[in-house]
Amino acid sequence: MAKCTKCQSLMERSVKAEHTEDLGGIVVNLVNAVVVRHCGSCSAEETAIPDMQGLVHTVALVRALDPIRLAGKEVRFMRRALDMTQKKFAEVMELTAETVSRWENGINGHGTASEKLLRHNVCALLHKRVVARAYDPALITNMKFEGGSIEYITMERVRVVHESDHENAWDRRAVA
Amino acid sequence: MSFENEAGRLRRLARAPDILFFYTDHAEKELKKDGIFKITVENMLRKCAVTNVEDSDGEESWRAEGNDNDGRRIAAIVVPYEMHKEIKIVTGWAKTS
Repeated sequence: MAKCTKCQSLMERSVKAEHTEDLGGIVVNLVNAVVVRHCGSCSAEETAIPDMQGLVHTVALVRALDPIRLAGKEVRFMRRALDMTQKKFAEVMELTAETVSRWENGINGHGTASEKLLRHNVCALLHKRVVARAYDPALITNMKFEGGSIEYITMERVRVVHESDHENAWDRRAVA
Repeated sequence: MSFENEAGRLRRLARAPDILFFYTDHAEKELKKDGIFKITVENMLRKCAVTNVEDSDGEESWRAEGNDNDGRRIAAIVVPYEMHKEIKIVTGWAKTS
């Protein structure tokens, strides 16, 4: 058992039923996944989100496959999910860094053609790292964009079975 | 002074596939104050330098530093638990100079 940083008492470990986290442009609701250590003596808490990188990659792909138009902060989230600077992202997209900055800040936002290209590129670079979700480029090619915004995305840990093995991964929780 | 051995161990631990990064309440507050997201801290730790090592209450805490995707210098005080594949983030901040 781990010791509390504040009072050195032993901490109890549990899994939170729900946890809300701002990933930086996209808010997620994480179901039955976040590990919490709680100190009974001083009420201090420590939280851990398993496989944060996998979560960010999956959320970026899920968002890229959702037809609601991307806000500037979501473009920034996708760039960060790719672990790229604005300069690197601009090179990959064959844009100037100023254009990327304008997109991210929602000034003279991106057009629909640019948005489709952005979504294609994000998915092309991430889909092999997202094991729980199938990706078909035609979904983006045939996409009809919708207005509005996404308040949050609910995510859960799922078991992905391979031929002789299995692993846990993040996936979007299906809407009931 | 640089701590190459600690930096290598921390980067290796941060890259382990089943690693858990625990954030204290204090770290959550301080990171939020500076607009730093957890993925930024974790990406930074995967390629960080260690610039200080301190011992408090029998536990070693290390100061890790690196850049985020926007060129900001980020620092964090962490406690590595190599046996348990865990890293505790005690606090973190964006460096201004």
